[in-house]
Amino acid sequence: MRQSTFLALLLVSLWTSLIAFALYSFDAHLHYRELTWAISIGLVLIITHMVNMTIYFKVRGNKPYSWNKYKKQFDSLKEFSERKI
Amino acid sequence: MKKLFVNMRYLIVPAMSVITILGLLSGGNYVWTGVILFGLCAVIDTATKNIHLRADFDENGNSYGIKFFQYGVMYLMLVVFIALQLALAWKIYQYVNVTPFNVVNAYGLTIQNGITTTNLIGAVISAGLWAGIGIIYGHELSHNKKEGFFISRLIMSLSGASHFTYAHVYQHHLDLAHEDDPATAPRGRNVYMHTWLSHAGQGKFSFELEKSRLKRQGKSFLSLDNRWILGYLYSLPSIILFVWAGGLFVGLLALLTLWLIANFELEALNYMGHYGLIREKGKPVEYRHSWDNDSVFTDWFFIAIGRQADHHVRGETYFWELDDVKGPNYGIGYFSLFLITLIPPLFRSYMKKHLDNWDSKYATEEERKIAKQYGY
Amino acid sequence: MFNIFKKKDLKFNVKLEPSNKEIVLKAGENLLTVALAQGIKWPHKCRVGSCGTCKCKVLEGEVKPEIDFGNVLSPEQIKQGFVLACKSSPKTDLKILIDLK
Repeated sequence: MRQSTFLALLLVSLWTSLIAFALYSFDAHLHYRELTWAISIGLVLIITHMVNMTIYFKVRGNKPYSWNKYKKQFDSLKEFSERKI
Repeated sequence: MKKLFVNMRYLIVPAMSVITILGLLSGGNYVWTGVILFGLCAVIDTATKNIHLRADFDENGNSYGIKFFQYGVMYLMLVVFIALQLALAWKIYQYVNVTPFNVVNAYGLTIQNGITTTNLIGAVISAGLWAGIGIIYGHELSHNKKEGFFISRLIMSLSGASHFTYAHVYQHHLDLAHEDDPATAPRGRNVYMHTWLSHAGQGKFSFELEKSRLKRQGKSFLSLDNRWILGYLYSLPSIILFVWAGGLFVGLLALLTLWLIANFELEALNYMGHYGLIREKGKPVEYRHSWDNDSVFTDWFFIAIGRQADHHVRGETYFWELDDVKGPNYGIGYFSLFLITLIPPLFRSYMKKHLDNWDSKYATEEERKIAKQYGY
Repeated sequence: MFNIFKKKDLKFNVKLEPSNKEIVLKAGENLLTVALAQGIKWPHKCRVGSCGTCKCKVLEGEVKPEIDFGNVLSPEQIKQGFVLACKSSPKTDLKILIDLK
């Protein structure tokens, strides 16, 4: 796994776990039926998601979208030159 | 009569979405209605794959489509998709509350209260499959003026993909068939990886677009002027609904599953629409830079979204006027192709002859050179 | 409000400067689409209002925008009367400045 992929996954996991722990600590899982709690939890979750996406954008940059990784590996030049185009 | 037929034939999705909602409300095994309808569509699509119809115009060259009617339907679909989420949330509420199983009659409907775990899974899948079809309206309205554009943002926000509306118009249509377009899948990528990369890539575009726009205007990125942030805030009601209905485990899991299915369908359409096609940077987008899927059922169900070739060259054209332009065509419908994409080695094998044909008959010399660089 | 049910048979004359070419559009018709169909080599690329290649200046008359031009054109350009031809239809007769070279 690429270093930046590992870093992105690590940071996203840490941040999400932190939020999950915080929600659990505040007993959010018991109060969700109260509208104020539901709205607050919703806000926390969407902010968590936005931060996660931002982490991914910053850490991984443009690397994931490159087409280079799909370059075919040929066993020989002959195979390369004989492939149909 | 012809005018009536041309306008009514695009009502397959609205009708089936409403039936899916009724299935959810009816409860019991009826919650699987959406799944069954989806399967039925796959059968019909496969059975009619050889029927292709051209766009319809009268003797004066005028289209039969009624703009007011078609746009009215598209705007109303926002309400339908909201109702779909409300119906699902209601079943989730019953599940979490362990509502006793009983049968009531209300508004002419026989409703089975309470829901088993198996049927809850069915309900989520049913809702997800039809929520994902919302893309066709989100897509069409993204090419519209302020009100339609805004409705598109709201429809896509129901699946957590509000960024699509900007990314589709201001990135995909400009960078199509090039590495700069995350919605174009290069040869060798499978639909699962593409779902994530296309979703994230379009989100990144929307993020960067707002960052530079707000900087130019001297405004803070962290503000309600930020349309990337606003897009996520439009999804807030869905999150609140499912959290309230089902809590942090069942409710959230159901919403995430629904969003996963819906986004998978959205990105699968992008995947199928442009897989493996190549365009030289800076050159105009032409018919050959899109795959068409326009067998009759696909065309009517997906409101001509399968006529990608014409749409990308004549982006201003109403969907009911898009035509078969003899561009690259899979020859089968979207449902049939979608099932093939689910098995990547099968899809790669299926695509080989199509891509060989494209390389030899459609690609320019420069485009073949680009393909060579990637070792194709 | 009930005008939307009326048949759209209004026609508008569109004069292009400095080429002095003229085209005729029906109400609701797309400016770029009709211009291209009538052989005008109007610069264009994306045709969805995202690249700005088709932009032109409305000297006289009014167009109906089909999208928010603010995503591509600056506030100054909009103030000066620039519009995107691929996402405009005429509301009145028009005189338009467009470099067709």
